[in-house]
Amino acid sequence: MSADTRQFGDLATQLVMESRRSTQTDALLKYNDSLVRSLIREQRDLERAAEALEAGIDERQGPPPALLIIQTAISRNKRCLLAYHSHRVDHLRDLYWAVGGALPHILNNQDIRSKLSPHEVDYLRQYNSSVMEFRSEFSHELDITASITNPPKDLHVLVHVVKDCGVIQTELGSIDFQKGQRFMVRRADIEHLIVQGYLEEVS
Amino acid sequence: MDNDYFSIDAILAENQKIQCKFKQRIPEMGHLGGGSERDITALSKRQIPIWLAYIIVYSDWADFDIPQPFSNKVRNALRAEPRSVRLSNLVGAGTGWYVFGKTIMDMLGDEQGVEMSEMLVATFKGRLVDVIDQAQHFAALGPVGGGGSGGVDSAPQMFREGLDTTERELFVSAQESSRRMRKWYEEGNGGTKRVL
Repeated sequence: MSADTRQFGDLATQLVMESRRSTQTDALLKYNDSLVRSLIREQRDLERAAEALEAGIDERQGPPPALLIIQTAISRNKRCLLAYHSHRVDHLRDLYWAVGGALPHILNNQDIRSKLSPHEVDYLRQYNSSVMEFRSEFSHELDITASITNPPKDLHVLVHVVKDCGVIQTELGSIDFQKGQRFMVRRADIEHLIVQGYLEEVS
Repeated sequence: MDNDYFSIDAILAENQKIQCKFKQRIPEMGHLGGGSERDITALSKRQIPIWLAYIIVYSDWADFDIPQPFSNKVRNALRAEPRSVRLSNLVGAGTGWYVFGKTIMDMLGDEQGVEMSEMLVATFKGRLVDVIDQAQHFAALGPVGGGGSGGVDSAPQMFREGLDTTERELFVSAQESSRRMRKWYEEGNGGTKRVL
């Protein structure tokens, strides 16, 4: 056994610890591509070792303990890899819904974008397509990307423009939202701009 | 907290080590638990993480000792007064006593397993009322453990510090829940906006 596999599960633990840290600090960490690759390399080494042992199995005695132990180590690594990726994907989905499904808002944000792997970007794009397709089926009755944590008390809302967002279509016609101005508009028209931080609700 | 395949907490809980006494020789696995020989010899003892210990114990290659956090001394103390034991001191930082207990329980035979299960449940029930009670009381004040009045509150404070990770999660949850309820009641009365 090489020094790398001296303690089974060490690399896997490192990876899962990142998931824990991410939860504790409530922050998305950068995708640890090098650690994932090291783990996959370890898997290949273990697989080779297992195959070597498999070749020498004695019919009457059954598999050697070492083989079962290596198999356990392989399963352990697999579980940790899957949990790491699953945890990140959950985080990304939460992020997506927190901005009301405004995908460009996430992908154009360099801070976030730099932390994602190419596969995660693809995932977000496909997820977004599915959501949009589903949403369009009943968009007259219900907008599923609207905020649900703060039920609106009013049909209209007074907003203050924090960042320029250009000309937006509302029930009153097109409005050019420029920084520093205030407008009384229908909440449904501009909800997504509040979520993304362009407008601020004035209470 | 759960034993879900994807649960980060469950995965890390299985990293806890238990003492295994091997009954037979295991060739080529001498490096487990930090050994330097090529093989594991019969009757040798190693500290093995639970996730690996499962297969070793099931295949009857080794026996394991009940770890210290669940020793008879601890059990007796819990039986006498569940709230008196500082669970957070028994296991390393970041691992739950209950979660660890559950993973050990899965490895025990029927009789011992049931006994362990009953102990875990009885302890949890015995402590839960105080956990939630304190959380609701503290919802009005600051965050957990922040500026607690030393003298008068020292018993509750010790209890709070001794909470295991699962209980801590419940505490924070209950606290947050109380706070939001309070806020909602306050807003409801004075916060109605006038429609122009």
